[in-house]
Amino acid sequence: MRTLFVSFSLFSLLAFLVVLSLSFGAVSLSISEILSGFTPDSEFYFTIHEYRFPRAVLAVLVGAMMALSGALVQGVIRNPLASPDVLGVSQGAGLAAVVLMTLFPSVSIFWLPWAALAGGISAALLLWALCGAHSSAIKLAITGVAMAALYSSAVDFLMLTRPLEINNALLWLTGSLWGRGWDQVFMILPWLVLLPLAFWLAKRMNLISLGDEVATSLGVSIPVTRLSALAIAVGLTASCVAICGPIGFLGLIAPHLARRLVGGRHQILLPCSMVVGMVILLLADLLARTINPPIELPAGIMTAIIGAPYFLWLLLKTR
Amino acid sequence: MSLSTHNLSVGYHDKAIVKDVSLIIPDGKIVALLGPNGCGKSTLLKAMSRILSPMEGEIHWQGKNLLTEPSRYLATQLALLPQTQPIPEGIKVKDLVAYGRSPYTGFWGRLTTDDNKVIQDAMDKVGVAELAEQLVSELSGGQRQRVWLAMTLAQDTPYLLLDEPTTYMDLSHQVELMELFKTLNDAGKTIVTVLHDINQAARYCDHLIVMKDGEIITQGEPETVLTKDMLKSVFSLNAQIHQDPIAKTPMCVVE
Amino acid sequence: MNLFSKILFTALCFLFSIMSKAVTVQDSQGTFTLDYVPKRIVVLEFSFVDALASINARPIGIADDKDKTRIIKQIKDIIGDWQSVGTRSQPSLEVIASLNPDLIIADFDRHAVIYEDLNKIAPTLILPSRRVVYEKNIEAATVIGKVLGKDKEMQARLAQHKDIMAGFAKQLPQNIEVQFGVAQENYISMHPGKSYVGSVIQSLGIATPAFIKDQKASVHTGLEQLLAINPQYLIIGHYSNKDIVNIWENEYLWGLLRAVQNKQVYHTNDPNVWSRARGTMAAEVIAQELVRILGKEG
Repeated sequence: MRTLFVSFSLFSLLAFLVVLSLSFGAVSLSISEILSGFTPDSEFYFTIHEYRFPRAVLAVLVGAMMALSGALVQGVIRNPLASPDVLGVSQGAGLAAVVLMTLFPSVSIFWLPWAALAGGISAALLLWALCGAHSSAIKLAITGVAMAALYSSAVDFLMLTRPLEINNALLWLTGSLWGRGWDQVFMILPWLVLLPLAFWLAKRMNLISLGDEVATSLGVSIPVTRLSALAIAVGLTASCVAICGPIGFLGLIAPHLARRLVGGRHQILLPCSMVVGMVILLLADLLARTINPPIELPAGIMTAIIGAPYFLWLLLKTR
Repeated sequence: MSLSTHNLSVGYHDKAIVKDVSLIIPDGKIVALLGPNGCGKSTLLKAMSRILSPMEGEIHWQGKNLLTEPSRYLATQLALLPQTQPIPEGIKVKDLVAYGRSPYTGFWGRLTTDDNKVIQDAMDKVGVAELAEQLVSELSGGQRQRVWLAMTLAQDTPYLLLDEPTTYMDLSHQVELMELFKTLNDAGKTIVTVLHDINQAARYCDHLIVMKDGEIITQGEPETVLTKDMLKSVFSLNAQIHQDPIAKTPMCVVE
Repeated sequence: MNLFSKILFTALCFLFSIMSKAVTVQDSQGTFTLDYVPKRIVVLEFSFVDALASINARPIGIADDKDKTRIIKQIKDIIGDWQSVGTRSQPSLEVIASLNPDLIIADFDRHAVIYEDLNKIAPTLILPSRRVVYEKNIEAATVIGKVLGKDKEMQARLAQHKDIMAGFAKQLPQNIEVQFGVAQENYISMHPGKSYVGSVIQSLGIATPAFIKDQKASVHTGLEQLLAINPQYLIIGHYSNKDIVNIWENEYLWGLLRAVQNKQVYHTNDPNVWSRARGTMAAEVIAQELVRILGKEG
């Protein structure tokens, strides 16, 4: 069974990467040192329990959520090259974050994730208000991309006119797991309630891929399914972006790669995308930390470095 | 009279394509919708399969308004095969055909032995069983059309609504499809299909409905519908009507 | 001595030792207390290295962007070698932890976001460095002196610094206007009056051109904007031999700058000390260079 083989390989890879993430960094630790790092009196307690472990947990959660969000959007838009970015959620969140950083620099950074979350969700609501519940997938995508471009320009404008904030904003906008720990893990946990909801849509997502007409004939309500799937995708993306910044390519590559591995049935595609997302983000963060220690690169740059060649390869292959 | 329309007007963007049509689809027949391009035959089919909502009038299924019936129930009664379909990514033929069982399966789409039997049966009927493990995206246009038809058959509804199902098919597959309609019809299914080929319709269908400019011009058995005058007024064709030497059905020959 | 007086004596000694060592200061997050003299210090901005060096304290780890040349020579001579803990923008927490520091000095602007994490590693003193003027920088140095238990040394060094700067100021012409900028590939990054180097220049009695009101950090400036500012004296820092100034020098607008017409454009090959170092020792180096450039004039 191909699916079984793929799942086994992916989970082995994931487990391997988790161990690597705990073991490598600016300081390399052995397995026994890693295990001792979970006890409070160990000299590695901070490195393992307070630093590498929560970061790995966050990478796994965010990777899974971004990938799932991407799979939902690709399913609804019926385009394997779509991603949560076509909804303008990441850019909306980015704009809110940059507005907070540049126009209200005295506001505590505690509010940054909340502002980003509000920005992302507002962008989605605005898109919904512009398109209406009955609009076609393509209208939604084009409007979303236009709005995303508008938000990005606004971000550029703010950063060009207020260069003093540019470094912090740029750092945030690349997407990174640096400085994130248990607090961020606990902030993202409540959003996991969206996972069962997404799985509940799996069967209908399959039928949506058959076109609006056949799906309707098979008893699926297109507006309800589309709205639910997009609302879940928005929630997942906005919460992830709020905490890690917009980590590019993840919501695009992970479901795309998963579809090549296990096909387009959403009952398998959704969970597989999640595991692929976990693997990609863990790998990206591991590389970001270990490629030139002690310098930490943003994970968002690494996902772009992993993602760009993948698309180049796809391009060469389809030609 | 399972499926009927009552003063139905339907169209796109507030423009009615089908105008004030009252129609009863005869049960247990193979019904062809004929007419020139843009006459509203596809629009009518879409309205009967709930894709388009009526602007005026009603559509009834078993005497009840189509729009107020539960959609899952209707999915077990009326199946639609549209003219064009998207090509789903990474989906095998047998998976696509299995999607036709959706109205019967639970939320996770798990298939029972009975479901699998229906799926296999549908693939056998349209001759795509040997393609079962292939990806739909790798098939030719004609093969894909037959796979979609198998999916519609797997939906196992008493009524089949088909929009130009012979497009993309070569002649031998077209003939096979028409023969399949007969078999399905013998098994008790009502088939409503939009067709372009008038002779094909006259040979294989029991009841023809001719439309022009959103209205029904005439309907009935091929022998009564297919006349020189009708071809002239509806299709602007000068044609003669002859008897098909084999099927003994009427046949038009353009002058 | 009986037992009671022994205990009393020990207790008093203990209490005295705590009272003498405990230091409480105000940092950017509130009250900071340390009841020992820190020996293993990690610093995450260059101005704090400067403060440490000025009282002969040596940090074990510095967020030096993994580039030791970013610490100016005068400071390097005092502090010796150190371990890099990564970039100033995203220092590596695990490297910091691996050094087992007993004090971390962090920048409020860059590191407020990881303040909690830093505190789990070691007591963290968080002070302003980035986007802060000269006077605030000296205040931060004073706080560092107190926390390190070297308040007197720091006060003495700062007094000496004041004298040194006053000495340089006397050698500099007054009533002139100087603008500093760092040449990049596509623009000059201008440091306005409210930036660190701008405030150092002002402290020497030299004016800086007013442009983009209240701007605290460097401003990307094109040739036309530069002409609008039109400073009397222009000092340009170069990180490489090839930058935008090479191109601008051939353009018509460049010739219209009054600094160009009056031959008052100067170049420095050590912009690091002007734009990044931010500290009292760096200020002295800047002042010295200004004297070298402008001293004979006026």
